[in-house]
Amino acid sequence: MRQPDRNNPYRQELYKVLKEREWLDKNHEDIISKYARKWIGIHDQEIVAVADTSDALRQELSDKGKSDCRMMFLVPSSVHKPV
Amino acid sequence: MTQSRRAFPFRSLGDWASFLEEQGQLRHNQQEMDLRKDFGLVSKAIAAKNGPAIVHENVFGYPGWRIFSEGLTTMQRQAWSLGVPDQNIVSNIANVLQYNKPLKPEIVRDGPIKEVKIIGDDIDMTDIPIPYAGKYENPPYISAGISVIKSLNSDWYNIGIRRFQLKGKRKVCELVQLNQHEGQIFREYVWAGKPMPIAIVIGADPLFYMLSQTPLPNEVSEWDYWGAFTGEPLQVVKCETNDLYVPAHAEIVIEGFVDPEGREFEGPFSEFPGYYSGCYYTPVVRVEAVTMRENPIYYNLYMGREPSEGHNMFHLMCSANMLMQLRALVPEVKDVQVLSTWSFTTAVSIDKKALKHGLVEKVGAAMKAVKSGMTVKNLFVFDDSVDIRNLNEIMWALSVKFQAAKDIFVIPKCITTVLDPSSPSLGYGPGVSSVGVFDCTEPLPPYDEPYRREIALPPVTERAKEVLNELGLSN
Repeated sequence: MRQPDRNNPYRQELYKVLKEREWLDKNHEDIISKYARKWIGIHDQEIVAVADTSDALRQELSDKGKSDCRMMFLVPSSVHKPV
Repeated sequence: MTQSRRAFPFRSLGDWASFLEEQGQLRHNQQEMDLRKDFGLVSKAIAAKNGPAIVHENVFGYPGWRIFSEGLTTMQRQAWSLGVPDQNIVSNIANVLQYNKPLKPEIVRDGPIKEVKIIGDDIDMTDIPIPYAGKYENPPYISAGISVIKSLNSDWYNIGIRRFQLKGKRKVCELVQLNQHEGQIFREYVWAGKPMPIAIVIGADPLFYMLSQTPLPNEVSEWDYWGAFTGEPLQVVKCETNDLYVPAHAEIVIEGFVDPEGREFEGPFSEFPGYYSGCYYTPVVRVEAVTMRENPIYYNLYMGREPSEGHNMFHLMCSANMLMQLRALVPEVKDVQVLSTWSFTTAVSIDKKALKHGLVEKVGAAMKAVKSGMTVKNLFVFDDSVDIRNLNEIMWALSVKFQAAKDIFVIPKCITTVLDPSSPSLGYGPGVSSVGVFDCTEPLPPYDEPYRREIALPPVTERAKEVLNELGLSN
Protein backbone atom coordinates (compact mmCIF):
# COMPACT_ATOMS: atom_id res chain seq x y z
CA MET A 1 0.00 0.00 0.00
CA ARG A 2 1.21 3.50 -0.83
CA GLN A 3 2.41 5.17 2.40
CA PRO A 4 0.94 8.66 2.89
CA ASP A 5 3.37 11.53 3.35
CA ARG A 6 1.75 13.50 6.17
CA ASN A 7 4.75 15.71 6.93
CA ASN A 8 5.05 17.53 3.62
CA PRO A 9 4.26 21.28 3.54
CA TYR A 10 0.92 20.90 1.75
CA ARG A 11 -0.38 18.38 4.27
CA GLN A 12 0.81 20.41 7.22
CA GLU A 13 -0.94 23.46 5.81
CA LEU A 14 -4.13 21.45 5.19
CA TYR A 15 -4.21 20.41 8.86
CA LYS A 16 -3.97 24.10 9.76
CA VAL A 17 -6.82 24.93 7.35
CA LEU A 18 -8.93 22.31 9.11
CA LYS A 19 -8.13 23.97 12.43
CA GLU A 20 -9.13 27.38 11.06
CA ARG A 21 -12.41 25.90 9.88
CA GLU A 22 -13.03 24.27 13.24
CA TRP A 23 -12.55 27.67 14.90
CA LEU A 24 -14.84 29.33 12.33
CA ASP A 25 -17.55 26.71 12.86
CA LYS A 26 -17.37 27.12 16.64
CA ASN A 27 -17.61 30.93 16.46
CA HIS A 28 -19.74 31.38 13.36
CA GLU A 29 -22.83 32.74 15.13
CA ASP A 30 -20.82 35.47 16.82
CA ILE A 31 -18.97 36.22 13.57
CA ILE A 32 -22.24 36.49 11.64
CA SER A 33 -23.71 38.85 14.23
CA LYS A 34 -20.70 41.17 13.91
CA TYR A 35 -19.56 40.83 10.32
CA ALA A 36 -22.56 39.79 8.17
CA ARG A 37 -21.92 40.50 4.47
CA LYS A 38 -18.28 41.44 5.12
CA TRP A 39 -15.19 39.68 3.84
CA ILE A 40 -12.90 38.55 6.66
CA GLY A 41 -9.42 37.11 6.71
CA ILE A 42 -8.84 34.32 9.22
CA HIS A 43 -5.34 33.24 10.24
CA ASP A 44 -4.27 31.24 13.30
CA GLN A 45 -7.80 31.31 14.69
CA GLU A 46 -8.31 35.03 14.65
CA ILE A 47 -9.78 37.60 12.31
CA VAL A 48 -6.88 39.60 10.91
CA ALA A 49 -8.69 41.81 8.39
CA VAL A 50 -12.20 42.94 7.44
CA ALA A 51 -13.34 44.55 4.18
CA ASP A 52 -16.38 45.09 1.98
CA THR A 53 -15.04 43.24 -1.08
CA SER A 54 -12.63 40.40 -1.76
CA ASP A 55 -10.27 42.75 -3.59
CA ALA A 56 -10.32 45.21 -0.70
CA LEU A 57 -9.61 42.35 1.70
CA ARG A 58 -6.62 41.25 -0.36
CA GLN A 59 -5.34 44.80 -0.35
CA GLU A 60 -5.75 45.14 3.38
CA LEU A 61 -4.01 41.82 3.99
CA SER A 62 -1.17 42.89 1.75
CA ASP A 63 -0.89 46.26 3.52
CA LYS A 64 -0.67 44.43 6.85
CA GLY A 65 1.95 42.00 5.54
CA LYS A 66 -0.49 39.11 5.88
CA SER A 67 -0.81 37.98 2.27
CA ASP A 68 -0.31 34.41 3.47
CA CYS A 69 -3.65 34.61 5.31
CA ARG A 70 -5.03 31.12 5.40
CA MET A 71 -8.72 31.77 4.83
CA MET A 72 -10.72 34.49 3.09
CA PHE A 73 -14.39 34.19 3.96
CA LEU A 74 -17.54 36.11 2.99
CA VAL A 75 -19.69 36.12 6.10
CA PRO A 76 -23.32 35.24 5.28
CA SER A 77 -26.25 37.18 6.70
CA SER A 78 -28.23 34.00 7.31
CA VAL A 79 -27.66 30.27 7.24
CA HIS A 80 -30.24 27.91 5.76
CA LYS A 81 -30.96 24.41 7.03
CA PRO A 82 -32.25 22.42 4.01
CA VAL A 83 -33.14 19.24 5.98
CA MET B 1 -12.98 4.50 -34.56
CA THR B 2 -10.08 2.17 -33.81
CA GLN B 3 -10.87 -1.20 -32.25
CA SER B 4 -10.20 -1.16 -28.54
CA ARG B 5 -9.03 -3.97 -26.32
CA ARG B 6 -11.36 -2.70 -23.64
CA ALA B 7 -14.77 -2.06 -25.07
CA PHE B 8 -18.10 -1.15 -23.56
CA PRO B 9 -19.00 -1.81 -20.83
CA PHE B 10 -16.05 -0.27 -19.02
CA ARG B 11 -15.98 -1.96 -15.64
CA SER B 12 -13.53 0.42 -14.03
CA LEU B 13 -12.08 3.89 -14.30
CA GLY B 14 -8.82 2.30 -15.40
CA ASP B 15 -10.54 0.49 -18.29
CA TRP B 16 -12.15 3.75 -19.30
CA ALA B 17 -8.91 5.72 -19.18
CA SER B 18 -7.15 3.09 -21.29
CA PHE B 19 -9.93 3.20 -23.87
CA LEU B 20 -9.81 6.99 -24.06
CA GLU B 21 -6.07 6.86 -24.52
CA GLU B 22 -6.44 4.44 -27.41
CA GLN B 23 -8.95 6.82 -28.99
CA GLY B 24 -6.52 9.71 -28.63
CA GLN B 25 -8.81 11.42 -26.12
CA LEU B 26 -6.68 11.33 -23.01
CA ARG B 27 -3.59 13.28 -22.11
CA HIS B 28 -1.13 12.82 -19.26
CA ASN B 29 0.05 15.88 -17.37
CA GLN B 30 3.48 15.51 -15.76
CA GLN B 31 3.75 19.05 -14.44
CA GLU B 32 3.54 19.44 -10.68
CA MET B 33 0.03 20.53 -9.71
CA ASP B 34 -0.99 22.39 -6.55
CA LEU B 35 -4.33 21.10 -5.24
CA ARG B 36 -5.21 24.50 -3.93
CA LYS B 37 -4.68 26.49 -7.11
CA ASP B 38 -4.08 24.62 -10.36
CA PHE B 39 -6.88 22.17 -11.05
CA GLY B 40 -9.91 24.40 -11.52
CA LEU B 41 -8.70 26.46 -14.46
CA VAL B 42 -7.33 23.44 -16.33
CA SER B 43 -10.63 21.61 -16.08
CA LYS B 44 -12.68 24.66 -16.93
CA ALA B 45 -10.64 25.38 -20.04
CA ILE B 46 -10.83 21.78 -21.21
CA ALA B 47 -14.62 21.84 -20.88
CA ALA B 48 -14.88 25.16 -22.73
CA LYS B 49 -12.88 23.79 -25.66
CA ASN B 50 -14.26 20.20 -25.70
CA GLY B 51 -10.77 19.06 -24.85
CA PRO B 52 -9.42 15.66 -23.89
CA ALA B 53 -9.70 13.80 -20.62
CA ILE B 54 -6.64 14.32 -18.47
CA VAL B 55 -4.66 12.38 -15.88
CA HIS B 56 -2.52 14.51 -13.60
CA GLU B 57 0.45 12.37 -12.61
CA ASN B 58 2.33 14.76 -10.34
CA VAL B 59 0.36 16.15 -7.39
CA PHE B 60 2.31 18.23 -4.87
CA GLY B 61 2.13 16.63 -1.44
CA TYR B 62 0.76 13.32 -2.74
CA PRO B 63 3.54 11.31 -4.34
CA GLY B 64 2.32 8.44 -6.47
CA TRP B 65 -1.29 9.64 -6.71
CA ARG B 66 -3.04 10.30 -10.01
CA ILE B 67 -6.03 12.57 -10.51
CA PHE B 68 -8.39 11.99 -13.46
CA SER B 69 -10.75 14.61 -14.91
CA GLU B 70 -12.92 15.44 -17.91
CA GLY B 71 -13.61 11.84 -18.90
CA LEU B 72 -17.27 12.61 -19.61
CA THR B 73 -17.09 16.19 -20.83
CA THR B 74 -17.90 15.66 -24.51
CA MET B 75 -20.94 14.07 -26.11
CA GLN B 76 -18.77 11.55 -27.91
CA ARG B 77 -17.25 10.31 -24.66
CA GLN B 78 -20.65 10.26 -22.99
CA ALA B 79 -22.01 8.16 -25.87
CA TRP B 80 -19.12 5.70 -25.55
CA SER B 81 -19.68 5.38 -21.81
CA LEU B 82 -23.36 4.57 -22.39
CA GLY B 83 -22.81 2.32 -25.40
CA VAL B 84 -25.27 4.31 -27.55
CA PRO B 85 -24.76 6.19 -30.86
CA ASP B 86 -24.13 9.91 -30.41
CA GLN B 87 -26.61 10.79 -33.20
CA ASN B 88 -30.03 11.44 -31.55
CA ILE B 89 -28.35 10.60 -28.26
CA VAL B 90 -31.14 11.98 -26.06
CA SER B 91 -33.79 9.74 -27.57
CA ASN B 92 -31.35 6.81 -27.67
CA ILE B 93 -30.84 7.10 -23.92
CA ALA B 94 -34.57 7.67 -23.28
CA ASN B 95 -35.39 4.51 -25.22
CA VAL B 96 -32.94 2.42 -23.19
CA LEU B 97 -34.36 3.81 -19.95
CA GLN B 98 -37.91 3.17 -21.11
CA TYR B 99 -37.67 -0.16 -22.95
CA ASN B 100 -34.62 -2.06 -21.72
CA LYS B 101 -35.02 -4.28 -18.71
CA PRO B 102 -33.22 -3.05 -15.58
CA LEU B 103 -31.18 -5.65 -13.73
CA LYS B 104 -30.54 -5.82 -10.01
CA PRO B 105 -26.80 -5.70 -9.20
CA GLU B 106 -24.90 -8.94 -8.69
CA ILE B 107 -23.38 -9.31 -5.24
CA VAL B 108 -19.79 -10.57 -5.36
CA ARG B 109 -17.61 -11.53 -2.44
CA ASP B 110 -14.57 -9.47 -3.32
CA GLY B 111 -13.23 -6.91 -5.76
CA PRO B 112 -10.36 -4.52 -6.43
CA ILE B 113 -12.05 -1.96 -4.15
CA LYS B 114 -11.05 -4.17 -1.21
CA GLU B 115 -7.30 -4.26 -1.93
CA VAL B 116 -6.68 -1.75 0.88
CA LYS B 117 -8.84 -1.36 3.98
CA ILE B 118 -8.38 1.41 6.53
CA ILE B 119 -10.66 1.20 9.54
CA GLY B 120 -11.43 3.46 12.48
CA ASP B 121 -8.69 5.62 13.97
CA ASP B 122 -6.23 4.74 11.20
CA ILE B 123 -8.32 6.88 8.86
CA ASP B 124 -7.05 10.27 7.80
CA MET B 125 -9.13 11.78 5.02
CA THR B 126 -6.32 14.20 4.21
CA ASP B 127 -4.48 11.17 2.79
CA ILE B 128 -6.74 11.57 -0.26
CA PRO B 129 -5.73 14.38 -2.68
CA ILE B 130 -8.77 16.66 -2.90
CA PRO B 131 -8.43 19.60 -5.30
CA TYR B 132 -10.05 22.95 -4.65
CA ALA B 133 -12.44 24.13 -7.37
CA GLY B 134 -12.46 27.87 -6.65
CA LYS B 135 -10.64 30.45 -4.58
CA TYR B 136 -12.89 30.55 -1.52
CA GLU B 137 -13.63 26.99 -0.45
CA ASN B 138 -11.98 26.23 2.85
CA PRO B 139 -11.43 23.31 3.35
CA PRO B 140 -11.83 21.63 -0.06
CA TYR B 141 -14.69 19.48 -1.28
CA ILE B 142 -14.87 15.98 -2.66
CA SER B 143 -16.67 16.85 -5.89
CA ALA B 144 -17.02 13.52 -7.69
CA GLY B 145 -18.16 11.46 -4.73
CA ILE B 146 -21.26 9.41 -5.54
CA SER B 147 -23.28 8.84 -2.40
CA VAL B 148 -24.85 5.40 -2.07
CA ILE B 149 -27.71 5.22 0.43
CA LYS B 150 -30.70 2.96 1.00
CA SER B 151 -34.22 3.68 2.12
CA LEU B 152 -34.99 2.68 5.68
CA ASN B 153 -38.36 1.30 4.59
CA SER B 154 -37.64 -0.55 1.35
CA ASP B 155 -34.90 -1.94 -0.91
CA TRP B 156 -34.65 1.34 -2.77
CA TYR B 157 -31.02 2.33 -3.31
CA ASN B 158 -30.28 5.88 -4.38
CA ILE B 159 -27.04 7.10 -5.95
CA GLY B 160 -26.08 10.66 -6.80
CA ILE B 161 -23.07 12.93 -6.98
CA ARG B 162 -23.10 15.15 -3.88
CA ARG B 163 -20.75 17.71 -2.46
CA PHE B 164 -18.76 16.66 0.63
CA GLN B 165 -16.73 19.27 2.48
CA LEU B 166 -13.70 17.91 4.27
CA LYS B 167 -14.00 18.82 7.96
CA GLY B 168 -11.58 16.55 9.76
CA LYS B 169 -9.63 13.31 9.63
CA ARG B 170 -12.87 11.31 9.91
CA LYS B 171 -15.52 13.86 9.07
CA VAL B 172 -17.17 15.36 6.02
CA CYS B 173 -20.27 17.51 5.69
CA GLU B 174 -22.81 16.76 2.97
CA LEU B 175 -25.35 19.15 1.48
CA VAL B 176 -28.62 17.22 1.48
CA GLN B 177 -31.73 18.76 -0.05
CA LEU B 178 -35.36 17.70 0.26
CA ASN B 179 -36.00 18.19 -3.46
CA GLN B 180 -33.59 15.27 -4.03
CA HIS B 181 -34.20 11.62 -3.23
CA GLU B 182 -31.28 11.67 -0.84
CA GLY B 183 -33.17 14.23 1.23
CA GLN B 184 -36.34 12.16 1.21
CA ILE B 185 -34.47 9.04 2.29
CA PHE B 186 -32.44 10.87 4.93
CA ARG B 187 -35.66 12.27 6.37
CA GLU B 188 -36.84 8.67 7.01
CA TYR B 189 -33.80 8.22 9.27
CA VAL B 190 -34.33 11.60 10.93
CA TRP B 191 -37.92 10.71 11.77
CA ALA B 192 -36.80 7.30 13.07
CA GLY B 193 -33.92 8.84 15.06
CA LYS B 194 -31.42 6.47 13.40
CA PRO B 195 -28.03 7.18 11.80
CA MET B 196 -28.09 6.71 8.04
CA PRO B 197 -25.44 4.44 6.55
CA ILE B 198 -23.67 5.98 3.60
CA ALA B 199 -20.93 5.02 1.17
CA ILE B 200 -19.16 7.62 -0.95
CA VAL B 201 -17.80 6.13 -4.17
CA ILE B 202 -14.96 7.95 -5.91
CA GLY B 203 -13.67 6.75 -9.27
CA ALA B 204 -16.39 4.41 -10.41
CA ASP B 205 -16.79 3.32 -14.04
CA PRO B 206 -18.16 6.01 -16.40
CA LEU B 207 -21.62 4.45 -16.80
CA PHE B 208 -22.06 4.51 -13.01
CA TYR B 209 -21.21 8.21 -13.09
CA MET B 210 -23.72 8.90 -15.86
CA LEU B 211 -26.43 6.97 -14.02
CA SER B 212 -25.72 8.94 -10.85
CA GLN B 213 -26.93 11.98 -12.82
CA THR B 214 -30.21 10.36 -13.86
CA PRO B 215 -33.30 11.85 -12.16
CA LEU B 216 -35.48 8.76 -12.07
CA PRO B 217 -38.80 8.53 -10.18
CA ASN B 218 -39.21 7.56 -6.53
CA GLU B 219 -38.40 3.99 -5.51
CA VAL B 220 -36.34 3.39 -8.65
CA SER B 221 -32.69 2.48 -8.09
CA GLU B 222 -30.47 4.14 -10.66
CA TRP B 223 -27.89 1.37 -10.57
CA ASP B 224 -30.42 -1.18 -11.83
CA TYR B 225 -30.08 0.64 -15.16
CA TRP B 226 -26.41 -0.25 -15.40
CA GLY B 227 -27.79 -3.59 -16.46
CA ALA B 228 -30.33 -1.97 -18.79
CA PHE B 229 -27.51 -0.35 -20.76
CA THR B 230 -25.06 -3.26 -20.68
CA GLY B 231 -27.22 -6.38 -20.56
CA GLU B 232 -25.38 -7.63 -17.50
CA PRO B 233 -25.67 -6.70 -13.82
CA LEU B 234 -23.35 -4.29 -12.02
CA GLN B 235 -21.04 -6.16 -9.66
CA VAL B 236 -21.26 -4.88 -6.10
CA VAL B 237 -19.55 -5.85 -2.88
CA LYS B 238 -20.59 -5.29 0.73
CA CYS B 239 -19.13 -2.45 2.75
CA GLU B 240 -16.90 -3.26 5.73
CA THR B 241 -18.69 -1.24 8.39
CA ASN B 242 -22.30 -0.99 7.21
CA ASP B 243 -24.75 -3.08 5.21
CA LEU B 244 -24.59 -1.11 2.00
CA TYR B 245 -23.16 -2.39 -1.28
CA VAL B 246 -20.75 -0.54 -3.55
CA PRO B 247 -19.30 -1.13 -7.04
CA ALA B 248 -16.64 -3.82 -6.73
CA HIS B 249 -14.38 -2.15 -9.33
CA ALA B 250 -14.40 1.41 -7.97
CA GLU B 251 -11.19 3.21 -6.98
CA ILE B 252 -12.03 4.54 -3.49
CA VAL B 253 -14.98 4.07 -1.13
CA ILE B 254 -15.55 6.08 2.04
CA GLU B 255 -17.95 4.37 4.43
CA GLY B 256 -19.75 6.05 7.27
CA PHE B 257 -22.91 7.06 9.05
CA VAL B 258 -24.86 10.31 8.88
CA ASP B 259 -26.02 11.62 12.23
CA PRO B 260 -29.80 12.23 12.03
CA GLU B 261 -29.65 15.19 14.42
CA GLY B 262 -26.29 16.89 14.15
CA ARG B 263 -25.77 19.70 11.66
CA GLU B 264 -22.64 21.68 11.00
CA PHE B 265 -21.84 25.02 9.38
CA GLU B 266 -20.83 24.23 5.79
CA GLY B 267 -19.92 26.19 2.68
CA PRO B 268 -19.30 28.05 0.54
CA PHE B 269 -18.72 25.98 -2.58
CA SER B 270 -18.16 26.88 -6.21
CA GLU B 271 -21.57 25.70 -7.38
CA PHE B 272 -23.30 24.90 -10.67
CA PRO B 273 -25.26 28.17 -11.04
CA GLY B 274 -21.89 29.84 -11.45
CA TYR B 275 -21.79 31.56 -8.07
CA TYR B 276 -20.41 30.50 -4.74
CA SER B 277 -23.23 28.95 -2.78
CA GLY B 278 -24.16 30.31 0.59
CA CYS B 279 -23.50 28.56 3.87
CA TYR B 280 -25.78 25.88 5.23
CA TYR B 281 -26.31 23.75 8.31
CA THR B 282 -25.74 20.34 6.81
CA PRO B 283 -25.61 16.75 8.03
CA VAL B 284 -22.29 15.32 9.12
CA VAL B 285 -20.78 12.03 7.95
CA ARG B 286 -18.69 10.18 10.52
CA VAL B 287 -16.20 8.13 8.48
CA GLU B 288 -15.76 4.56 9.70
CA ALA B 289 -13.75 2.98 6.90
CA VAL B 290 -11.93 3.82 3.71
CA THR B 291 -11.29 1.07 1.17
CA MET B 292 -9.45 1.48 -2.09
CA ARG B 293 -7.38 -0.14 -4.76
CA GLU B 294 -3.68 -0.59 -4.15
CA ASN B 295 -2.89 2.25 -6.57
CA PRO B 296 -6.11 4.25 -6.80
CA ILE B 297 -6.95 7.09 -9.18
CA TYR B 298 -8.83 10.05 -7.72
CA TYR B 299 -11.67 11.39 -9.89
CA ASN B 300 -12.07 15.15 -9.74
CA LEU B 301 -15.14 16.89 -11.15
CA TYR B 302 -14.64 20.62 -11.52
CA MET B 303 -17.75 22.55 -10.53
CA GLY B 304 -18.52 26.23 -11.11
CA ARG B 305 -19.90 28.26 -13.95
CA GLU B 306 -20.67 26.16 -17.03
CA PRO B 307 -19.53 24.65 -19.20
CA SER B 308 -18.14 21.84 -17.12
CA GLU B 309 -18.00 18.07 -17.17
CA GLY B 310 -20.65 17.94 -14.45
CA HIS B 311 -23.02 20.24 -16.33
CA ASN B 312 -22.60 18.29 -19.56
CA MET B 313 -23.26 14.95 -17.87
CA PHE B 314 -26.34 16.15 -16.04
CA HIS B 315 -27.78 18.06 -18.98
CA LEU B 316 -27.64 14.97 -21.18
CA MET B 317 -29.07 12.49 -18.68
CA CYS B 318 -31.69 14.97 -17.49
CA SER B 319 -32.81 15.68 -21.06
CA ALA B 320 -33.23 11.96 -21.71
CA ASN B 321 -35.15 11.42 -18.49
CA MET B 322 -37.39 14.39 -19.19
CA LEU B 323 -38.19 12.98 -22.63
CA MET B 324 -39.02 9.58 -21.19
CA GLN B 325 -41.09 10.95 -18.30
CA LEU B 326 -42.88 13.70 -20.25
CA ARG B 327 -43.99 11.60 -23.19
CA ALA B 328 -45.73 9.25 -20.75
CA LEU B 329 -47.89 12.19 -19.66
CA VAL B 330 -47.98 14.25 -22.88
CA PRO B 331 -47.57 12.02 -25.96
CA GLU B 332 -47.24 15.12 -28.15
CA VAL B 333 -43.75 15.79 -26.72
CA LYS B 334 -41.13 14.97 -29.36
CA ASP B 335 -37.84 16.17 -27.91
CA VAL B 336 -36.28 17.79 -24.85
CA GLN B 337 -33.01 19.62 -24.37
CA VAL B 338 -31.65 21.19 -21.20
CA LEU B 339 -30.19 24.48 -22.37
CA SER B 340 -28.46 25.85 -19.30
CA THR B 341 -27.64 25.63 -15.60
CA TRP B 342 -28.73 22.20 -14.47
CA SER B 343 -32.10 22.43 -16.32
CA PHE B 344 -33.00 25.87 -14.94
CA THR B 345 -33.58 26.72 -18.62
CA THR B 346 -34.92 23.92 -20.76
CA ALA B 347 -36.50 23.54 -24.21
CA VAL B 348 -39.21 21.11 -25.24
CA SER B 349 -40.48 20.52 -28.74
CA ILE B 350 -43.98 19.25 -29.42
CA ASP B 351 -45.69 17.85 -32.50
CA LYS B 352 -46.65 20.76 -34.70
CA LYS B 353 -49.56 18.78 -36.12
CA ALA B 354 -51.00 18.35 -32.60
CA LEU B 355 -50.91 22.01 -31.58
CA LYS B 356 -54.04 23.13 -29.80
CA HIS B 357 -54.98 25.62 -27.11
CA GLY B 358 -53.91 24.44 -23.67
CA LEU B 359 -51.26 21.98 -24.88
CA VAL B 360 -48.29 24.18 -23.93
CA GLU B 361 -49.73 24.73 -20.45
CA LYS B 362 -50.16 20.99 -20.12
CA VAL B 363 -46.48 20.51 -21.01
CA GLY B 364 -45.51 23.05 -18.34
CA ALA B 365 -47.63 21.38 -15.68
CA ALA B 366 -46.28 17.94 -16.64
CA MET B 367 -42.69 19.17 -16.49
CA LYS B 368 -43.13 20.35 -12.94
CA ALA B 369 -44.81 17.08 -11.96
CA VAL B 370 -42.01 14.75 -13.07
CA LYS B 371 -38.85 14.14 -11.05
CA SER B 372 -36.54 15.30 -13.79
CA GLY B 373 -38.31 18.67 -13.99
CA MET B 374 -37.66 19.54 -10.36
CA THR B 375 -35.23 22.39 -11.07
CA VAL B 376 -36.75 23.72 -14.31
CA LYS B 377 -37.72 27.37 -13.96
CA ASN B 378 -37.61 28.74 -17.52
CA LEU B 379 -39.33 26.34 -19.91
CA PHE B 380 -39.38 27.21 -23.60
CA VAL B 381 -41.82 25.19 -25.68
CA PHE B 382 -41.34 24.99 -29.45
CA ASP B 383 -43.09 23.11 -32.21
CA ASP B 384 -41.00 20.43 -33.86
CA SER B 385 -40.18 22.54 -36.89
CA VAL B 386 -37.48 24.07 -34.64
CA ASP B 387 -34.26 22.20 -33.85
CA ILE B 388 -34.00 22.78 -30.11
CA ARG B 389 -30.28 22.00 -30.17
CA ASN B 390 -29.61 24.88 -32.55
CA LEU B 391 -29.40 28.19 -30.69
CA ASN B 392 -30.00 30.19 -33.89
CA GLU B 393 -33.27 28.37 -34.49
CA ILE B 394 -34.30 28.80 -30.87
CA MET B 395 -33.70 32.54 -30.98
CA TRP B 396 -35.45 32.83 -34.32
CA ALA B 397 -38.57 31.06 -33.01
CA LEU B 398 -38.52 33.19 -29.84
CA SER B 399 -38.26 36.28 -32.02
CA VAL B 400 -41.04 35.55 -34.51
CA LYS B 401 -43.50 33.21 -32.79
CA PHE B 402 -43.69 34.66 -29.27
CA GLN B 403 -45.68 37.55 -27.80
CA ALA B 404 -44.90 38.38 -24.16
CA ALA B 405 -48.40 39.73 -23.46
CA LYS B 406 -50.07 36.39 -24.10
CA ASP B 407 -47.44 33.65 -24.42
CA ILE B 408 -46.04 33.41 -20.88
CA PHE B 409 -47.68 31.16 -18.31
CA VAL B 410 -46.30 31.56 -14.79
CA ILE B 411 -46.42 29.23 -11.83
CA PRO B 412 -45.84 31.75 -9.01
CA LYS B 413 -44.03 29.40 -6.59
CA CYS B 414 -42.69 25.90 -6.82
CA ILE B 415 -40.20 23.81 -4.85
CA THR B 416 -36.74 23.82 -6.40
CA THR B 417 -33.11 23.70 -5.32
CA VAL B 418 -31.72 25.86 -2.52
CA LEU B 419 -28.77 26.53 -4.81
CA ASP B 420 -30.65 28.90 -7.16
CA PRO B 421 -29.11 32.25 -6.18
CA SER B 422 -32.15 34.17 -7.44
CA SER B 423 -34.79 32.24 -5.50
CA PRO B 424 -34.53 34.19 -2.20
CA SER B 425 -35.50 37.36 -4.08
CA LEU B 426 -38.98 35.86 -4.51
CA GLY B 427 -39.51 36.20 -0.77
CA TYR B 428 -40.02 32.59 0.30
CA GLY B 429 -36.41 31.79 1.12
CA PRO B 430 -34.00 29.50 -0.70
CA GLY B 431 -35.50 26.57 -2.52
CA VAL B 432 -38.69 28.19 -3.82
CA SER B 433 -38.78 29.58 -7.33
CA SER B 434 -41.30 30.82 -9.82
CA VAL B 435 -41.58 29.00 -13.13
CA GLY B 436 -42.14 30.62 -16.51
CA VAL B 437 -43.45 28.63 -19.48
CA PHE B 438 -42.77 30.44 -22.73
CA ASP B 439 -44.97 29.44 -25.67
CA CYS B 440 -42.77 29.69 -28.75
CA THR B 441 -44.88 27.40 -30.88
CA GLU B 442 -46.44 28.35 -34.18
CA PRO B 443 -49.38 30.63 -33.28
CA LEU B 444 -52.85 29.20 -33.67
CA PRO B 445 -55.70 30.99 -35.45
CA PRO B 446 -56.79 33.72 -35.47
CA TYR B 447 -53.54 35.20 -36.79
CA ASP B 448 -52.42 37.45 -39.59
CA GLU B 449 -51.42 36.15 -42.95
CA PRO B 450 -47.57 35.91 -42.63
CA TYR B 451 -47.86 32.64 -40.71
CA ARG B 452 -49.74 31.11 -43.62
CA ARG B 453 -46.84 31.76 -46.03
CA GLU B 454 -43.85 29.48 -46.33
CA ILE B 455 -40.66 30.04 -44.34
CA ALA B 456 -38.30 32.18 -46.44
CA LEU B 457 -35.64 29.74 -47.70
CA PRO B 458 -33.85 29.67 -51.09
CA PRO B 459 -34.49 26.92 -53.69
CA VAL B 460 -32.07 23.94 -53.73
CA THR B 461 -30.43 23.53 -57.15
CA GLU B 462 -27.81 21.09 -58.45
CA ARG B 463 -25.52 23.96 -59.50
CA ALA B 464 -25.65 25.49 -56.03
CA LYS B 465 -24.83 22.11 -54.48
CA GLU B 466 -21.83 21.69 -56.81
CA VAL B 467 -20.48 25.08 -55.78
CA LEU B 468 -20.86 24.24 -52.09
CA ASN B 469 -19.11 20.94 -52.69
CA GLU B 470 -16.13 22.73 -54.27
CA LEU B 471 -15.99 25.05 -51.28
CA GLY B 472 -15.99 22.10 -48.90
CA LEU B 473 -19.27 23.28 -47.41
CA SER B 474 -21.69 20.59 -48.46
CA ASN B 475 -23.16 18.56 -45.57
